[in-house]
Amino acid sequence: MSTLSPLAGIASPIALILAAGAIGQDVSSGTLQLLLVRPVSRPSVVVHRWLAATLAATVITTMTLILGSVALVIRGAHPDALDLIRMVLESLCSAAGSAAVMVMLSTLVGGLGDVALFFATLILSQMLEVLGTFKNWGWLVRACAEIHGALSPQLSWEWMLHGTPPSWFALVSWASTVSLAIAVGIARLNRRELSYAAG
Amino acid sequence: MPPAERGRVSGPSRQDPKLLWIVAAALLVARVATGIYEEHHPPEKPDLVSWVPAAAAPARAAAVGRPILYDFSAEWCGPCQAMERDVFADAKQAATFSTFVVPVRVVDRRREEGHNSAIVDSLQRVHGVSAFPTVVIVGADGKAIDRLEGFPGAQHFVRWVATASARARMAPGLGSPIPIP
Repeated sequence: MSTLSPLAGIASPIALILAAGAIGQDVSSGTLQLLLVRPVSRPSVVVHRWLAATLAATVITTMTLILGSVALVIRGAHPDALDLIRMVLESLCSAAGSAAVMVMLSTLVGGLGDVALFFATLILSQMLEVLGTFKNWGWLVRACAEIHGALSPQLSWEWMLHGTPPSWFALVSWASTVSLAIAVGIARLNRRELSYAAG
Repeated sequence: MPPAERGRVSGPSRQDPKLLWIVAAALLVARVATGIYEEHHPPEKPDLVSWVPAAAAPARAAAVGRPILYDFSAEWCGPCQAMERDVFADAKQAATFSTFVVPVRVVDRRREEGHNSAIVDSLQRVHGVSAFPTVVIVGADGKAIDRLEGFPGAQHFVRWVATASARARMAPGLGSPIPIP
């Protein structure tokens, strides 16, 4: 494992922070109602919020990785360029996945309720996983693992370094979670009644 | 009359993303299909351990001051494959494992080829290997420090390697200390 690998792990939490309340806060404050007076479609609001959070989290993580690499070079170590590319790609995928999930949750509840919803689901699934492990219920453990995977979708690019074929299941799972999250977010926002009174 | 705005979107703000729904549904189907496929045909995982040839191991062990670890395995052995997947193909576990020992893989080929090479037969005989996987940690004097039969799980295995290699370090003959990560 690379010395810089822990730095790549910050992409997901940063994306979660940046995407928290992306839609819900705008609905609660009335900003979205004002925004939609302009010729802007609801799907484009969801997609652009997702893209903004993803890009910002990726840029922050990439800058951190570059600074870490410079620090390593100063100390006499030489980080592998291919490994750095792998970490940037993994950061991009983690950021895109986490931002998509948080934007979707943000369309479901107002304000910062998406953060509460995220952590409530995470804690509940962890408790159920412990129960499943304790009771030896494989199906429950597997279901909770799927929920964890859906809450913070990640995609490993480790195969790139070793010349082995990628896991198509991992690739498709990540893409499926992201596309479903965006689609559900758009569908929910399309059906939402937006007025100053609806707050 | 105000000038027409560039890129103006006409129609209501609600637009049903039909294409996105089709893509998401197709990916969901593909997810189930690839999940079932990879359940039966798991993807090849890389071996991240730099195995040392058995003949070169004693010299390498003396040079780096670590004991030799002989991993006696066979291709048909299920627990050997689990060890391969959870330790040798796992970046973190493989890196930790490699800091303690000079790893030597000894693969039994009797079932596939009818016989083993002389060095494999010799090592199996010397260390009394009767089951796979068997892992033996050998000190600089060539004597076995500890042995493990079966695969107890990645964390337990790496912890056992760390403990046994530390014991090997205490044995005479190994010069420089083994770095503990």
